Amino acid sequence: MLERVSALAAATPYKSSVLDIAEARGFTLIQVAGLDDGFEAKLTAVIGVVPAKFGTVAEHEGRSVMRIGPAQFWIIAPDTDDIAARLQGHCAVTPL
Amino acid sequence: MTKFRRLSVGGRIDRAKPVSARFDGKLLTGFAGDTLASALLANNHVLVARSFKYHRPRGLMSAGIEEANGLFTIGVGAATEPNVAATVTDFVDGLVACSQNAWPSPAFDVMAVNSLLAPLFQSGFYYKTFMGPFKKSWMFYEPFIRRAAGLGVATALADPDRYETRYGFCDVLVVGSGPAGLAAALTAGRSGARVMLAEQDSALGGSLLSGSDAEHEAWGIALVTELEGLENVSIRTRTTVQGLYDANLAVLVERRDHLKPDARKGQARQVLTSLRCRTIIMATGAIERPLVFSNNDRPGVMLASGLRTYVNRFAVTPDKRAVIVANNDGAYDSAADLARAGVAVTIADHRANIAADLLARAGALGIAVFPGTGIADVEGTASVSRVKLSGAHAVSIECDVLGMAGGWSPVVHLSSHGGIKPKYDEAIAAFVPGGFAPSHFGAGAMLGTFGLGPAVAEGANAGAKAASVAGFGKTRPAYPPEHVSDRTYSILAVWAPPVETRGKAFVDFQSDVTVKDIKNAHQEGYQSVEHLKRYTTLGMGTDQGKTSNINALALMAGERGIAVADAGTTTFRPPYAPLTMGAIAGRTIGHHFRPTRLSPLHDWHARNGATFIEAGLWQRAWYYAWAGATPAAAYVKEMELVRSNVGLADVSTLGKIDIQGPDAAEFLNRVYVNGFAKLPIGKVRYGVMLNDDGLVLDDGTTARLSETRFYLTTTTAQAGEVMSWLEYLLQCHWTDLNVQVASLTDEWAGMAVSGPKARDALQLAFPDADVSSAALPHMGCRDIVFDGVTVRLLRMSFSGELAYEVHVAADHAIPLWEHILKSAGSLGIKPYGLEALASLRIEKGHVAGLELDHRNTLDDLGLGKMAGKDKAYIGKELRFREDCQSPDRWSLVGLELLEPDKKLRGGAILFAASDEIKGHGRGYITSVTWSTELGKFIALGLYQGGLKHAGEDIVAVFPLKNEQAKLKIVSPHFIDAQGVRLHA
Repeated sequence: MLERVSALAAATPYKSSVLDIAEARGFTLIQVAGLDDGFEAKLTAVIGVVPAKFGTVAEHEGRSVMRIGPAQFWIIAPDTDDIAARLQGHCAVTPL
Repeated sequence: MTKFRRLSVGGRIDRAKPVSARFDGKLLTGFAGDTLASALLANNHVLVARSFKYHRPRGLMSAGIEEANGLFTIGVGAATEPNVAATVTDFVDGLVACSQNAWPSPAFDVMAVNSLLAPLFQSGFYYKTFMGPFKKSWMFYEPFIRRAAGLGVATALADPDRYETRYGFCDVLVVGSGPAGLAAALTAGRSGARVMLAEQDSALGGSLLSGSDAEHEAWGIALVTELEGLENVSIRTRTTVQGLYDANLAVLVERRDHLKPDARKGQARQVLTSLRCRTIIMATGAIERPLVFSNNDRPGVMLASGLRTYVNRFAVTPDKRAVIVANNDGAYDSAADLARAGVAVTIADHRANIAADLLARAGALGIAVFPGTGIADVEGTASVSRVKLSGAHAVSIECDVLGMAGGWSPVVHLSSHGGIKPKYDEAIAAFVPGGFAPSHFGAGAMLGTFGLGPAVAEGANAGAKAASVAGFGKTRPAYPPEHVSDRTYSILAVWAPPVETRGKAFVDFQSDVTVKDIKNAHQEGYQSVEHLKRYTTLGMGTDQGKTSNINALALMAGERGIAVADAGTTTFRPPYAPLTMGAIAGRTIGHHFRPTRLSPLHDWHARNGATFIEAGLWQRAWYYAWAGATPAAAYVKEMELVRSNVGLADVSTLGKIDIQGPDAAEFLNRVYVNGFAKLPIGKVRYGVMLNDDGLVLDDGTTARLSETRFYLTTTTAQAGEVMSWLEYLLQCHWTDLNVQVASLTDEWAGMAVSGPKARDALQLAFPDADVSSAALPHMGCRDIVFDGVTVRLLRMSFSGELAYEVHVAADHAIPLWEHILKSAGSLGIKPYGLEALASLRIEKGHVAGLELDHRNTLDDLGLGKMAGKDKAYIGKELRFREDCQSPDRWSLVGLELLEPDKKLRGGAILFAASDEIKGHGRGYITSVTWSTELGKFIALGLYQGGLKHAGEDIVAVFPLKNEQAKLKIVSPHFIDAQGVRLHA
């Protein structure tokens, strides 16, 4: 398997009394976007819940779903999640 | 002689909290709630400044943001800020203030000699006198002139303070917290709307803070208390609304100096907020204006409203005697409050007929009123000692101060920022807003409504309307105090000095503009207000003419024999008041000035001898140590590697866009000038897109991955713009197209494998993939899975050699890059940088960002034949407009240097051999390189008429280095014009 190297691999985590910044690994980000009117219903059926308003996040079964634009969502899911494959055919899926 | 003192009681200061500061090195004491100005007067500092040009002695003239004289340098060292008005500076412990434009002190200023030379220094003097006798005389004189005049000096040290930028939203923005503003905010707030109340002063109340009526003050406190209790109302003091912009964007700047913010703790000194508002209510009040008469700038001559504010708000009063010269009713409020403080007051009123109730009220307070009387002159130099009256009571009176009550000018600035010109209102002799945008409202004195009761009613009405427009229903209006005067405002317009004397009569105190300057401007033909402003510098100071503009244009109207209304006004532009550069810059300084973008391969480059160069926001590998220690040496060696063998370059910065949907092909067919509807799956096509003005936006390649999916690349420079353009087209123009786009620029890496041995290198890297010409022909693409990871292979060439691009998810970029270098190491593959990449494409004649300057047409770049004739595409119609079809347009040419001992430089101006070397020439060089193939310097350029001049000798001129070189115009395709190599 070709090695996978994070863009933040060389970054030093920041830690102070009020703020910790470190990379959360083991997750994948995909963009899903609708190609027909029934998109959101299909998406909801597959992932359980989608946020109603732009700029909000819905969390369900270990996934975070963000509405980022008209009929466009970002989904953060564990690396092991097969959500991208399950959504193929229902909408435009772009692994980011 | 002018003298001020602090009253033992009264004022809105906190006497339990003494404050000490330093002014010109001396101790200055006061109380919490003071401004620097009130503390100066309380300590009897009368002569505190020198004027801009003549260095005349000056004192404070007002108590507000309109202050023209009392400007000081605040702070020390790197935290120094010049030209700060004392009237809006909180008096806090540790404050350090210094006078400016005076040496050694304002009381004794050497440069006061300028005043003796005043007849020389009238408007226009510098430009008429110092332009000769030689061509560059002005350059010689200018530093001396600038040193002799001016205000404070900014520090050259970096500002140590922190400034923040914020964004916010509200339903109703109320600007100003005077009676009208408070009523507006409360009425809107009661509806449930999100209200932002912005007040530039340190306290809410506006004119209530300057008044002496206890009932009115209690009314104001009650409104403020209720407002503070409403969760949907946000109140910002020390916050100036600096400008209004399109779509109800208001820019607010909040000052926090009084909190002594510590930048090391992340505390901001000033906060700039971009506030999007559904509606805006302007309750910005009015500013009293001075009268124009001889020596009206002497220390101790002040606005009457300023004297009133100092007495009532700060408990600072003139010592014994005051004269107030007036032309309107407002002066009587000021006179009454001074009289109550124990000052003997005389009113010289220009009006012969004065309302009986005013006279009775004055008489009851022992105020002498001289009707039909004006001011002829002021005696005293360092301060006022006597005033000479003119008219019905032409007597001389000894006094401490002279108050000027010349009428009130509504603050119309914000209402004008949207382009609505103010209109002149004869009844109040002032300009009022010429109208409002649909979601804007005005209330109170800014509309010319000077009575408390009507102003509050207007405020409440505006608050209700604004809340309704913002989508909120019922509200309960704020009501005025029980007892308010019902008298109407009366004024007699007085613009010119009542008598001519030898003394200077100032119109603009800050810019030292006198009545004589305005007469001179008229004589010299600078008669429109815009010309008057520029000829005399009227209104160009930090106060932006808040007290001077209307007097000046009325005087000019008088000279021209026209009505004031016909003279018009100058244009009011943001900012309303001075603001720091720090507030504008916010945190976008130093490393935060702009983000730095790094390729996913950056760390590898850094570890392996790359020297980096900025390319837009990107840090790109410029050249590598293996090829040489200098860019000039290295890039040639790297080029030779690619031309003779194989090289590997990082092209991750290219824009990469995933396009999906059943209409994706149709979408691209409309975006690109050439056809994409029938692009076969597995093929790549070069495309050019135009802007809707018919000019070239960008070029790039697009691969068809499936029936409904494409992979588009853009130039590095235009990646963001193209992505925005595609989203815009889909969301705004072609909503019928079923297409989605996603940017992959940061998510995917790209690497170019280029050179005659590129196929061999690829085969060694991916032994299981068929990369033969049959399987992967020129402009072909395919995805392979290598070591469990999807790798995209695209056969295309930027260098002109046999070449491939290998794209992969960014997380796998470095391992894949290392794998290619290792597996093809036996071929001698090495990395090459941006300089070689760009030079190779010049030899090939490919255009790039330097040629695509957003001014070219397809034909300028020699790409006109690409465009589809029978299909529609963006920019098609305007592409054929007359100007775009001119045969003399600057078009792409190749250039060869004819003089080997000389240099070619990018940006050099091109002239025909017979041209005089002067002006902008016939074009310019866009890109230059040493050609390893031709053994000479070559270039690409844009030249008038383009290749119809092929074969002609021309001249390149680089004035910055005084260089000239002879060139020949040739085809831009210097190598392999038939494309044999890339089809190998």
